[in-house]
Amino acid sequence: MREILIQAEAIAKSYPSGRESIRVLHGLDLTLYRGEAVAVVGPSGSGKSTLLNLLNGLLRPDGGRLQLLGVDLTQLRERDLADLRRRRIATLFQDGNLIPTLSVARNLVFRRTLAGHDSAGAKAWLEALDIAATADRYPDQLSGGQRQRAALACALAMEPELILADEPTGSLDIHNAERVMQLFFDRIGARGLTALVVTHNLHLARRCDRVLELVDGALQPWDWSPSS
Amino acid sequence: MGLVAVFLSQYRRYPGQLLGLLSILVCAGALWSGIQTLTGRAGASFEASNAALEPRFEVVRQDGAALRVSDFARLRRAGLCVTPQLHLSLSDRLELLGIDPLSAGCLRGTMQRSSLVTHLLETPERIPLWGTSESLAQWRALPRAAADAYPLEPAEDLPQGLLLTDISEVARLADEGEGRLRLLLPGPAPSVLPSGYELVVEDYGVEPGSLVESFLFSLEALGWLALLVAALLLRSVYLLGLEQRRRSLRLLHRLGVERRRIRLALLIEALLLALPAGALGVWLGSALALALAEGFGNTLAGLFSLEALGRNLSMAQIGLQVVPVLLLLVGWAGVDLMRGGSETDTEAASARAGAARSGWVGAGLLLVGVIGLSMVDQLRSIFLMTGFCLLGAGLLVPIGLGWGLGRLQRRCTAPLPEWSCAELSALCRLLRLPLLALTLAIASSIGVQAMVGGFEATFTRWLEQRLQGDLYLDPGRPVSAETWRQRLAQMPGVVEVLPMTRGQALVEGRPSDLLAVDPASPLLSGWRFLQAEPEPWRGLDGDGVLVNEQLARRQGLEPGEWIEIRLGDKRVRRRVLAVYADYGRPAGEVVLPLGLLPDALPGRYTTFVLGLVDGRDALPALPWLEAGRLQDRPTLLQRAQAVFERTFQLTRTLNLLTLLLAGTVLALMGLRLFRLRRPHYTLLHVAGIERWALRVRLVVHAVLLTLVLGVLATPLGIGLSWVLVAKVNPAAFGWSLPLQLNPGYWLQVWLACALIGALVGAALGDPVRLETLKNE
Repeated sequence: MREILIQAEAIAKSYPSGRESIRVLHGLDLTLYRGEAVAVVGPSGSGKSTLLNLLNGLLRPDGGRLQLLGVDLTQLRERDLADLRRRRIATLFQDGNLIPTLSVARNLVFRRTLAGHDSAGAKAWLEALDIAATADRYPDQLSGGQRQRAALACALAMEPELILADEPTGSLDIHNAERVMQLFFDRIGARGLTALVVTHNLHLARRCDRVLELVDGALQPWDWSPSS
Repeated sequence: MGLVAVFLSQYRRYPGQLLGLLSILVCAGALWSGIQTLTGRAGASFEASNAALEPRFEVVRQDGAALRVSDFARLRRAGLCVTPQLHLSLSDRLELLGIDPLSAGCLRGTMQRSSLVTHLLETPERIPLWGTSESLAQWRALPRAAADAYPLEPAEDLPQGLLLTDISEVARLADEGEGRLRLLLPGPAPSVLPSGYELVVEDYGVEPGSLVESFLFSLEALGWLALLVAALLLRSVYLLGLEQRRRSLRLLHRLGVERRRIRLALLIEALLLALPAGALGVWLGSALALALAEGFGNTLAGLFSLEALGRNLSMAQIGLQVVPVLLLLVGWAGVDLMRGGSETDTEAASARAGAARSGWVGAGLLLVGVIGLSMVDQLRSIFLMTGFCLLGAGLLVPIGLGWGLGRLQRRCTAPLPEWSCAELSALCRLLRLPLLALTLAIASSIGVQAMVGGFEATFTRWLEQRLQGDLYLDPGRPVSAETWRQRLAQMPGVVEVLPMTRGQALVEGRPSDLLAVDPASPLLSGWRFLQAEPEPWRGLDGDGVLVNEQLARRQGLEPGEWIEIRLGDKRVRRRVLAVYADYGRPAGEVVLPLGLLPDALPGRYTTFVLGLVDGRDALPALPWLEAGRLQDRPTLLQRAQAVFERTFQLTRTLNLLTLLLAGTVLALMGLRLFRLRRPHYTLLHVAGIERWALRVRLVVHAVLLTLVLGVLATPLGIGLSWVLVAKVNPAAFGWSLPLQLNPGYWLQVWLACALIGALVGAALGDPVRLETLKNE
């Protein structure tokens, strides 16, 4: 039987806007199995990033149940949620979001040691993503593709169980996007990692095991018919 | 119209930036114009009094007969610019002086009272008597006042007991032989005189010229420092908004607006900022100058005998001086925008490149400054080299801090301290200009405080050593030292009387003050010497002389050297026995025994120091003491302290304002910059660091940055205080002071720095902003 990594039931999330509140997610259900890659698509403002921030514990849902490896995230303290992000969940953003004051190699060591691993083998991680030559450069000295690969190397170096990616190729050209995603899927496949990728890029989404669409605050399977 | 709207939109969107720019410009304008007003007025006053303080000679007949009008005519016909003055004694305490308005211009000092001279020339039918209110009241009390009903005009700047009018009126009032005619001649002395006449020195004048200039220049140097700090801050604010503005300007260019028009618009913007800020700054500066004028005027009077500050410059004149300076500041601040900037520049990359450039410039300036300081003695050169040192070291401090943090970062094994080092290092690069400004302000604050504190302690110690008597008596008029000594010695309770006769002398041909005392008096035992031969007081009765530090420095004198002193008609050669400390005024002074003085000593005036029996603190009221002024030791000490406080009030005020300006702008810049760095803190939150931990870390970063800066600026401040006491003071005042360090004050400065950091950190609150995660 496949192991469930994330189990979300009837998740609701609203944001205050003046005297009113905007309902972003309501009645959202999601089951994510260990080792699978799931893409979430949906129009801008549909709540994709909110979903990601709920899954990595940056936000707390207003209602519903959210479990990671059988642990109810809504019951965890801030410290435990931070510990989850430090050791078990890696998040990848559109611009890579490396720490700009550290070199690529130090970014990698930073994330790895924060996750409780030793600092050895930084170069190997970079070599695996073909960016060993950029080890001593700062993020602002890298191209968009290099930056995203470096961010991926950092995420992988944490040795997480779950990778959450928010538009990871959003700022790349087609060639670079293809290259980064090739590396992404190769590495998570090789390590049996679980990934949830939020994207507008259907070409990228197609490479995932499942594609879900976020519509009206809830997830539903993506309809691949030409009309969608 | 579209272009204007785009330019204005920057400040509409970021009103804080506009407020920051205007505030700095207003402060810079106020400080600059305030100093310009005060130094300008002091300069005018100096110009006027310089004329009054030049040497003067009196022409006398060799046969000793009284001068007559025929003598005046003969001397004038010989081509000498002599002017007559007729003195008429009206009572014991009131004298009438008649001047000749036609020839009064010969003595440039008389032209100080040019309005009186003009009045005499223009309205000969109405000749008044001028004098202080008290002198005029004394005139009214005289029996002859009723018969001679002159218009009485108050002139409070005239000496007490002197009435001034036209010479013809004094001649009319004087009975035969009652008046005394003097014929005065300005210096330098003519090489040839008509036969039968000779010259007597009436006044040796003084030489405060270069000292006044030095004093005012020292003050202006503080103004320059404030201006430099303001320029750095202004540029910081501009650079902070540079990235936003570059994008707008590039867009305008792409939309078809010519670069020329964009530059013109930037220039107009600079004008629009500089003009209102300049106007407000000038107004505030005038208010500042007005508030400080009395204390400043008293300081000048105490130090250099300048009687009153000169005419105030008009607001328009000051404005014309200040606005170009402000325009220059804004121009320098915005020069990158004018150039347009590289299309590929990023903030971080240009900050790194800028830091490397600053490092080399800083090291070069520091090297030139240090070498220069060891070689120069002129005040202007000292200030220039000190400026190089300050600027160089100030540029190196943020870079050194960044370098140190880089080294520390490499040694870190834990990830968070490593990140903190990297973050602080980046902040040092990005905040290098405001940090430089604050470094300069802190260094100058510590330097000036050390100088003032050291001076205060030295001055107080010196004063206590000097003031050994219980009572100090100023007779209120010239008196005979010996007669009064005998009278005072017979008074009940008086155990010791020390007459102190002051006057003027020429030392090696240069005017100097003279103090004559009885070397055997026990009231002189407290004097401390900077350099001395054994038992100098005993040697003073022989062929010795004591000189003060100012004179020793100026004329390069040391114990054992012989100097020629002219005392009226008498010339003596004396050996320097000791150099004594003499604070509070920059004039040179020699000390000689009383018995050596001739009767005709220019400016002769005697005061007395009295020692009383224990338990006694006053003298009985006697008629011959009525005109005199008695002060006890505590009162004198208190007054001297008040003069001291006044002297440094302006320095302290300027220093405090500069420090406040730098501190406030650093706080504002810190707030803005830490706000811009929130995404980095948010990233760490995503990576698993809790909010509270990041909040604490942000406060710690801000405190560390300002605190370490304060600590690093301290050696710079100590260096500056050394320059002030060992280099600037001897050049500006003639005395040097011991370097006195004040760790208590450093602690205060460090605490203030830490407080700025803590306030910035606390004001930012939670640094985590999830909305910054996308599309950073």
